[in-house]
Amino acid sequence: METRKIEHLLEKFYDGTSSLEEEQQLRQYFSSDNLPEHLKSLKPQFCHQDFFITHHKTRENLKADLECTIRSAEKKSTKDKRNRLIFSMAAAAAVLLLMIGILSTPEPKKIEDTFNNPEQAYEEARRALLYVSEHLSKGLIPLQEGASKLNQGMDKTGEISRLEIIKSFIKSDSELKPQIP
Amino acid sequence: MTAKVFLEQFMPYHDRIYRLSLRLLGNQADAADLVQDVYVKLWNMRHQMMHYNNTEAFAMTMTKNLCYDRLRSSERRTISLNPQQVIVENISPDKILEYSETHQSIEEFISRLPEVQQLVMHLRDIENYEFEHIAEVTGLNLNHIRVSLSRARKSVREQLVYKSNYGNTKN
Repeated sequence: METRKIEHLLEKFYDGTSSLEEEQQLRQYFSSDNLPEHLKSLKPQFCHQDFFITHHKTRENLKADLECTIRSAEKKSTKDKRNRLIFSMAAAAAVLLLMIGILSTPEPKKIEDTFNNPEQAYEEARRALLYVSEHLSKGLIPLQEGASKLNQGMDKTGEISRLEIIKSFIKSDSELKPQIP
Repeated sequence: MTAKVFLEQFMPYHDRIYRLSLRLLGNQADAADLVQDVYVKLWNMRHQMMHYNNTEAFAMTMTKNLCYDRLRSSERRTISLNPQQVIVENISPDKILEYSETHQSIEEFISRLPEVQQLVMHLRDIENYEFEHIAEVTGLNLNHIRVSLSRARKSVREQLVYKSNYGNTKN
């Protein structure tokens, strides 16, 4: 390659206006050992990329470490996700159970009609009421007897009022006593 | 996005992410550490990432930001920024003889450039990014990128020319 063309490319290079291809051409040119004297000192600048990349490789296990780090991060995040899922499912189940509990409490029982025919129903009702009244009056008889006995007893207690009269006698008597002597 | 899909998509960038971290942080241990941080962060953002069409630029931007955060959060780390250390760590002895002196001095010199120039030059001259991609990563406009790149390249050239002249006069 002509030196003049190289000098032109160098000018662009140091102006920051060269393209990537032109920079590649320069690197290629400077990789040779037959360089004009005035350009020799620039050689390291164009070999530096090669040097840097070959000599600054990542340590061998870095890639494996990275994979390990990412995989364990993934495991952790799926575990977290699972925990969150379990929690929300538990919450949903609790709500569901509560709903079922509320909905399944027995409703107050409705009284169903047992007769289709109103007359028959009336008859039956009458019979039932008659039965009740019969037994009620039968049950009332001993109650009346008891009540009369109670009344008799109460009459007897009336005699207690006589005690009061006697008491007042005694009282008046004792009041008089000191005056006698 | 499963881990498998994620790794298929982002694993190819890990060398670039590492190189950028190394350039900005200046030592291998911190750089490797930072790559881990970047991947964890990318993984956590995997749902948002579907909206970006250039995931590589996204990953590199994140790398750059995390590097700067780290540099700023502890001044101590900037002291450990010693490019000579970086180079010697990873090179076989015969290669050291061949390369080390000049490339060490280039590394050292680049590490003393302003942050923006370092970043732009790294993305262009090491990673061969188009200007549009550099703009995506750095957030700078194209003109600013060209100017920074030009300054950085010229600075390295001056350093090299000075060094070779100095070497010649010494010989």
